[in-house]
Amino acid sequence: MNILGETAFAHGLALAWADERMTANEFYQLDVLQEALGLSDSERAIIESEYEGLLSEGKARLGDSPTSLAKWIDSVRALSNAHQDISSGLARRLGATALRVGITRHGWQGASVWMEQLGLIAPFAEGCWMEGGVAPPLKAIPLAFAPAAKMLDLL
Amino acid sequence: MGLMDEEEEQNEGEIDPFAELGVQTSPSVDISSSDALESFLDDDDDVPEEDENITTEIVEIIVDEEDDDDDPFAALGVGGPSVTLAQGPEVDALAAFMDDDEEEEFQVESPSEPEIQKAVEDDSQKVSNMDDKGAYKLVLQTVWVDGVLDPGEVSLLARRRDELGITFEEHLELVREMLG
Repeated sequence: MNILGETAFAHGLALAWADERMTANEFYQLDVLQEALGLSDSERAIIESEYEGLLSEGKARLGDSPTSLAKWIDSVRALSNAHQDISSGLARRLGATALRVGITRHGWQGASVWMEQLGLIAPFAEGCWMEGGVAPPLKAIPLAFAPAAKMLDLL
Repeated sequence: MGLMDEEEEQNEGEIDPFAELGVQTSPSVDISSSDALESFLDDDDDVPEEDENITTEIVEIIVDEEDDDDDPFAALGVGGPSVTLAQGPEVDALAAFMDDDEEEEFQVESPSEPEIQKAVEDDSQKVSNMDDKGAYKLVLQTVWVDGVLDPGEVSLLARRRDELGITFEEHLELVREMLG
């Protein structure tokens, strides 16, 4: 699992551009991802604009396969469709798992940005900072958390 | 007028531009909703019974616990890459903080962090001259001195928040300020 962007949408964007072209289907799939993340059009536009700037400079990170985009959207939708208690519980436990390993500044900052776009920054932070007690560790993580887990040196 | 209404009704929901283009209008991955996410949580977690059913891909990590009684992959029949955590296999770093006795939950046992303890003692002498946030901020500034936030430091901070009446939201704001 490579980290292709700072946020789940940026990651999806890089997957969509994996073959260096954007199809109508991929554009629609990004609409679905935008909706799942609750991003406004202007928020999406900022991310796309930044990415396209990197593309034109040849510095953009690209996914390894365009088919990965569908799986990625699936994983994000799974979280956003899950009951709040489940997604929050997973985020909290991700934080607690990271704390067991030790959290760097860089890891905290990167994972916080990631979890914020997923709407799970609060429970994630609680897990990291032991707010409200100690959460048990995760044994497996959802794909949508994997880049954040990598930032936290868990993967 | 009636004719126009009828035409509008016919148009509504019938023209799918993506279908017209021969473009798939939903992700090709089955999102058939089972309780895949629920299996990541312990049985004793408070999970509502009416959860939507969801399937999702998972990435396995091997953690350092001995209780292997709930294997999400066995439950799901899903395989995934195995990735080892960066910590020793037999020690749960937070085990000391997971006592049943709630009053002991945040007891600090971190002799490995004497510099933090010393900083707290030094800070305590200055507390009378500064506000609670300022005192807390001083402690907060010490936790990443070694580059890594560990359970002992976090436990100490949690106790200090309690003592100084700092809310968790205020704590996060101070962290943001500190990290810029």
